[in-house]
Amino acid sequence: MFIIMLFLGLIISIQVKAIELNKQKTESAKSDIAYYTNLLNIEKEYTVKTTAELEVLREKKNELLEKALIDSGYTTMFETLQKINRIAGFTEVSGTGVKVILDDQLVDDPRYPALTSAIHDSDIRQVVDIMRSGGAIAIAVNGERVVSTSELTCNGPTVQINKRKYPVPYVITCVGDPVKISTLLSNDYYLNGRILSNIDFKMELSDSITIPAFSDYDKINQYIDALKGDKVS
Amino acid sequence: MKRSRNLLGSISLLIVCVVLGVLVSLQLKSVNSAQNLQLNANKRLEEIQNELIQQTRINRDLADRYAELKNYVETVENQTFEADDAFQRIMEEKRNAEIFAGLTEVSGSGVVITILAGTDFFVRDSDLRSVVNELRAAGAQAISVNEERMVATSEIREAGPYIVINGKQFPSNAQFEIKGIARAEDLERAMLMVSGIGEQLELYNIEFEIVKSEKVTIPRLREDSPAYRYDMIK
Repeated sequence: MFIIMLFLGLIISIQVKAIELNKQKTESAKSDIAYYTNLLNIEKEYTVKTTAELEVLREKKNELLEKALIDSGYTTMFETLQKINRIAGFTEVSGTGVKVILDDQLVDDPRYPALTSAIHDSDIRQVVDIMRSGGAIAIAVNGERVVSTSELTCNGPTVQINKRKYPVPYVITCVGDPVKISTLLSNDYYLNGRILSNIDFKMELSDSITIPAFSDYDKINQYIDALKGDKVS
Repeated sequence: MKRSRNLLGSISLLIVCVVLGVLVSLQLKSVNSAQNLQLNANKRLEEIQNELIQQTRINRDLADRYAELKNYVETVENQTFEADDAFQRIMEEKRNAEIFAGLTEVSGSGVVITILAGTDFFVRDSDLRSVVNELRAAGAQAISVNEERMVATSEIREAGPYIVINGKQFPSNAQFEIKGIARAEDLERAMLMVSGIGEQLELYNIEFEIVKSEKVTIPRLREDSPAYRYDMIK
């Protein structure tokens, strides 16, 4: 009897101690999370702020260049430069267009396994390719401008474009003929099959879509350094 | 009397044992759930830390760009324009943009992939698109399909017995030649990797050939291709 009582006492004291210890641990983890979340928010604010400032600087640079070139009589040269930049995807483009949103639709239903109802890189590629076929003049995936070197590949739970990784949902926007492009999209055999296997597909026609400039427009050396024997023609 | 004392003793022993059992199980349970809580918190913490590292990297990059652009704008502002390096910079920028946009002929080391058509099958647009995407993913800096330069808006689509590329028709039962410039080994590896695009083509009985070359030449975008025409719309 005595031994049992001793044991009982021991357990109670361990329990009390364990509870206290856990409380401490959880609290320290909580405060760590709060600390890093705060740091992350500061960094995010910086990103938003600097991106906006960069945009302002960029406009200023273009104005200065325009003025300098035109003042010096290089008007044609300036126009050529603008045209090249537009084809390269270094300028923002606005106009009528289509917006497609692709998302996972994971439900606890054996008819729709996660493998088929999750979005894959091939789904995004299909939408982008249809937009190209429909004559879109500018396309973006999650705000990343699709340019000549843009890859769309699967990278774990994310999809990589322009060397950056994005999770779901995927917002694919384009400037072009909204009726033509949306018709092609809604009649596509592959996409309709995917909708049947339960992916979340939304499409909007829009009067004003803005496609941003290529995010690496001022760092393109890394994209052309293998093209050594180039000739300007 | 003795019996009832024994009975009382047994009952109290029973109660104590039950309490003891409940306590032990509670203890185990609380340790378990505490561990789970702890694990979850650690996982969340790790996620946040990873995100933070990425965000910091993005910001460092942004800060560099900002400094560089600011420097550039100041140079242009403070210099007289004629005969100085501001003009040189514009020329270089123009040249780089032209190369990137696909408006110049380029050459470099790379691969030439020939998709051999048979008499009894047609090459599908999706096969060509998969190869092009794979080359892009492997870091190709310039790509052409049948001498059609692939730019941002280049389409590869089926239209009856043809495949249309940059607005030009090619019969889909003929041979297709895809060229890519980058490190040739990277491009070859991308094509031949296990369960990659190469195997996918074989699965559809499409024969292909990859030739590595020190000098692959890829033409500029045709003047009459859609990308130029769309440029009319601003």
